[in-house]
Amino acid sequence: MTWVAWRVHRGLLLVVLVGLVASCTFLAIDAASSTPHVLDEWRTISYLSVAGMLTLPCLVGLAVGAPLVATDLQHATHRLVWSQDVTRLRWALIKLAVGTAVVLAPMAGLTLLVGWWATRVPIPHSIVVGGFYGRGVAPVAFDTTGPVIVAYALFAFAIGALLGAVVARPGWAFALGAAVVTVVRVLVQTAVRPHLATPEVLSNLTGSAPVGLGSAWILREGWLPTGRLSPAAGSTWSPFPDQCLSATQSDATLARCALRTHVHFVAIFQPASHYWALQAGESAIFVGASVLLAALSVLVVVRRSA
Amino acid sequence: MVLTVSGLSKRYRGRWALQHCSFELSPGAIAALVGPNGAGKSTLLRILAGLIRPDAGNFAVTGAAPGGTRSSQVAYLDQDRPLYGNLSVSETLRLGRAMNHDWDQRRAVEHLERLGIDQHQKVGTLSGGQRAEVALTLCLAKHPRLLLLDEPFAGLDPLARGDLARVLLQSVVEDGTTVVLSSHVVAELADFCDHLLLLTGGKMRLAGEIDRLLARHRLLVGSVSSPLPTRARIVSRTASSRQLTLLVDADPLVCFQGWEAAMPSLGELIIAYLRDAAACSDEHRAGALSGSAEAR
Repeated sequence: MTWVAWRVHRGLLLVVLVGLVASCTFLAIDAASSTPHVLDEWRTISYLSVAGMLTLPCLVGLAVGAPLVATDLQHATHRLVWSQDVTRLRWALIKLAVGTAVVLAPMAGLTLLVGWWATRVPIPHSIVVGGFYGRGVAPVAFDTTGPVIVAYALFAFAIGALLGAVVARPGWAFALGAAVVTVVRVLVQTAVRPHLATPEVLSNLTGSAPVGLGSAWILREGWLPTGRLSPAAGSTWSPFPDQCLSATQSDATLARCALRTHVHFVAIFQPASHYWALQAGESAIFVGASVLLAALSVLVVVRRSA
Repeated sequence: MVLTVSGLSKRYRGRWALQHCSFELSPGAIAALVGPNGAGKSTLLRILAGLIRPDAGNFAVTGAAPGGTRSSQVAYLDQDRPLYGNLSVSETLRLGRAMNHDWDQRRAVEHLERLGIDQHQKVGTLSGGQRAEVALTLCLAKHPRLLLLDEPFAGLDPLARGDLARVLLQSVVEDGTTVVLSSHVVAELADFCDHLLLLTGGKMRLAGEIDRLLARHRLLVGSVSSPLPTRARIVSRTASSRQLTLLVDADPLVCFQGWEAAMPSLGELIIAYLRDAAACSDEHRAGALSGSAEAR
């Protein structure tokens, strides 16, 4: 039965595998070669790899997941395979297992390889800042590295499989899935990820972030009345203490003014040290959701009228 | 009995696709499932194949083959003959072997060789008839106790139809397979079917051995002025300017005075019931009641 699942989707799965293996090979050769890139090349490579790592999990997951059940429903071959001795439950589980393997192994390999590649090649500092090479906790840097990549891919795969089983058209399942995955990722990033680890709070009178905060993910920052770590009801985070507009000559004058007018600067942030806690939490959410969605798609297959 | 069906019902969007269907088939029976489009033939076959869950009623396939499980006893040929076009014929056989407990590879290979179908050919490049043969081979290699065929003759040339009929008969003889096949082609059914299942508007109008059904019915020809028979149920009537033809359901011993009586052919019997159903559904429509539903 595993052979059947593989054989039926062989063409598509091979395209996905070859694409991922080719990307890995490119990275490996690039890391091994001694000729350094010029800055412009670096910029291109940086943008390409960031864009790739942002979109690949979704594209690969949906490319494998959306046709998994939908092509059978579209071409009516589900009436062939569902009327054999193999139960629909077994059929669905084996298909999901083969698809998971095709998504999981190369995506994990690619993620590891990109991480390794980033440490091997001498990347200019101007590109590291804001890029994903720093294992940062800030958006883009956070979701283009680490195990979350694989979790996103599995989630997209499960969404694709479920939508495919419901709408019975691979193209529609892919398009709908892309929309769902994008919305869910944005929602998780803005509403869930900040709370996956307890944020740290920094407060001073000068409004300058200390050294090292550059790699952190600033959630909120601004000026508040002294003693408060969040704005009072009806007021907001103030980007600058309006009373001290004339006292910006130096940190010392600004601090004196802040002290006099009873305001202080507050920054709430996830420090770089929370990287693995956030990665673990977010990966768990997406893998858990994938398992639920996969179970749901099995249920749809088993209960569906053919 | 191999197949016992009782009270099967299926509803689609508030319409009955199948309503209280009951019948039985004994081992080796070849049953023709006949009815107009949308009568529920495909729905019935798909329920028996385990593809659709009925809303009410149940069915049982009994007489388990030694060592076999429940599901391995039923083989189903869909009317679209779905196969994977990008698989070769031999890969399609491997699919069948991988997905079934009992699989007779030799029988499958021999059958295809006899038909001259090249195993290395992609299924997508086969002709319609060859495709149907490969789909049927998948069914036969399972040695099914119950073989369900939805429109197996559709798209086959007369020669291939004869071949198919011969293969089915052989399977019935060798395995004691019970066959249910739906068809539009009334003429060819009489040659090798021994049971008739007549569905109209989701309801089973006739079910039983063809010989007994024919013996129960009379084709009466008389003048338009003859008094209608009272001790029989009139199934259909066709009137020309002078003569009236009736098909009636009556005790074989009843005599019809003033009528010329004869046993109907299978074709005449089927046509009479289909005509009756069409008339009924017209009346239903007039009364804002609808009995028929789409099969899909």
